[in-house]
Amino acid sequence: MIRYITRRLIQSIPVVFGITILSYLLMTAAPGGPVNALYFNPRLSAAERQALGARLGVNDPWYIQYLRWLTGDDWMRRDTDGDGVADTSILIPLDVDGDGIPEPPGEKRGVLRGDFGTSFTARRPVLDVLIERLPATLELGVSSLIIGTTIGIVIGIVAAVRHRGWFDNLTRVLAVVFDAIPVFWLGLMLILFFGVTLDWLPLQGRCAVTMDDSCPPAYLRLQYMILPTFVLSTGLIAGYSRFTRASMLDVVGEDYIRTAKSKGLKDRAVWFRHAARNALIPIATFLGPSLTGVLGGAVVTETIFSWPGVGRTAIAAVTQRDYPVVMAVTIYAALATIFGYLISDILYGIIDPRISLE
Amino acid sequence: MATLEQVSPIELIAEGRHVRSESQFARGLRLLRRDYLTLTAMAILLILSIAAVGAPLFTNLLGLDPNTTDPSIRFQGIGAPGHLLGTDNLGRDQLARLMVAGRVSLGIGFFGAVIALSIGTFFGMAAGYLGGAFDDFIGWVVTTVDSIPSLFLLVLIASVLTPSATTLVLVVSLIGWTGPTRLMRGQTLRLRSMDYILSARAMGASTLRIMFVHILPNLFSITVISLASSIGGLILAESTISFLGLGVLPPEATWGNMLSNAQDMFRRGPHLLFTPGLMIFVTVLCLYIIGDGLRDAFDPKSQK
Repeated sequence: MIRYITRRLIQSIPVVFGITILSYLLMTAAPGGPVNALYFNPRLSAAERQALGARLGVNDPWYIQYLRWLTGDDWMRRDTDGDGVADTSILIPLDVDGDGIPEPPGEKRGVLRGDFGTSFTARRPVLDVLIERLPATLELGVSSLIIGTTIGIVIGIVAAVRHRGWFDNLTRVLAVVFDAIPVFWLGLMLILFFGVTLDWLPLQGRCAVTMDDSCPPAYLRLQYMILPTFVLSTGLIAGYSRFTRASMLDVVGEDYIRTAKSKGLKDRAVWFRHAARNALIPIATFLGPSLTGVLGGAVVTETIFSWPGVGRTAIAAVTQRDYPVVMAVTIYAALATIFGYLISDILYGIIDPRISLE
Repeated sequence: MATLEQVSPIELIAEGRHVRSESQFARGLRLLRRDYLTLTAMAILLILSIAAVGAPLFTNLLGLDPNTTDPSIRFQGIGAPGHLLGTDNLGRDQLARLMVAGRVSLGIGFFGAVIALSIGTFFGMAAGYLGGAFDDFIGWVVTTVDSIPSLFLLVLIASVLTPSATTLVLVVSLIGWTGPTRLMRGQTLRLRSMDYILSARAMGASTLRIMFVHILPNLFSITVISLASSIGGLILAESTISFLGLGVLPPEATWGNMLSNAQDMFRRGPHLLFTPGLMIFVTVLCLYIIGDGLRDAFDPKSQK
């Protein structure tokens, strides 16, 4: 087991590496160039920008720049004797701008150590901005995952039990419908119906406006959570119900089900104790894709419902060209996805003894 | 990629390259002719496409202009005189805008899918046939791109490009090529081990000749079958990007940015929220149904 997990972890290193290269390359293509995108306060004058650029190493070859972005420069130009002036350096020169004075020691810790720099708009470390927004996203994401998975699995089992019945046909049609329906439109239609026409639920937001921008615990503001949670979980419900149904129908053909039936067991016992238990095993593999779906869906859902989470922050960051935030969100989303796939593979191995992990 | 339209598997097979394939194709057509759901979807999509492609002509004939603003007739409801689907917040005719927008949305979906499938077919075939380091490299790139949730990748790419219809084709094809690459690689692996490839190699055919003359024609049918679902997926992607305000910029209309524009008009213009989304939904639904129908009818693997 440990060997398998280690191997899977090692296998994901090239992918993580690829993600950083891809994001870095995209950012160097950003309008204004990588200097603006990655290091700079956009309000500097052109001359200051150039001087700062030289000191920050824009004239270095691209691989040094990438390495600096990835791993930081605190190890590249160091101050060993503690007088505040850099005295040793590797890969990059001590004095870049040629004025005879060594540059100050490096302070960046690099993306790999969670240093995405400073947000242009919030003027705070990117990580602080994101951590502040994380609870709202988690609240929405976790509740959608739980609700979507439960409803999806139940629908899938019932549809398989009533194979070719009206419920089965209905769920198959609905699964296609919910695949094709644009999430943002579904959200807007629900707001229009439940919020405007019926006036039952609030139109948007995480809670009623408060003085200090904080929200009471979730159970006191369920009316705010109903619509966004439902919208975010539709994709999961469609996916899980289809997957569970297919898996159940696979299992039903097995000999042990025939045995159970011929023993005279009640239908209910056969379906739920024998079939469902085994049919649910492959569903562990669905955790990775569903995490991706929730992460992507959260961006759209949070935008429609003005939900103050990471996704909405990301969209705001794109429109304001706040590249450090965009980069950080993308890379964290990718890491979460890789982690999700890893967990589902490991879970699959633990639950199903027939899967050999070696 | 005009070849995709001109040399369909239908014609390739009808030329009589394989006797078995011809009967398989005839069987597919027979199945399709009885598949009323797929036929209905095809009919609806055809009407939508004609309305979209001929949008400039039709709006001219109706005497409507999608970009003419008229403050005196803002927020007219559905069925208003002279404006069948009402008008928007600037008094522009909603029907005319929907048709013109459809041209952009369908166009982006179509060309995006054609590019994505071409890239996917080429790299998938090369990776599957050549194997080795190239296969590993393509596999690495595909896994990397796939591990970034596609919406974040879309947002990331859209944030560095200046939005326009042309760049959006690029953006959506950049996320749409990984699936076809995997599919075509698998297919190529299967074809590579077949006897006719072995015999071609024995006769001294070059690698390029085997790939483009012997393998590529056999991948075309899958390409065409997956075109419909690909277009559907990419139209959804494009409309999401445009809805988030990172796609085609107003005043040029797409279904996504029309919805984005109507987002806060719940009370004054609910019809402005309803119609663009309905168009996206119906179009994508038809494309998915057609995709499934074609796969059921023509894909040998799905035949029972």
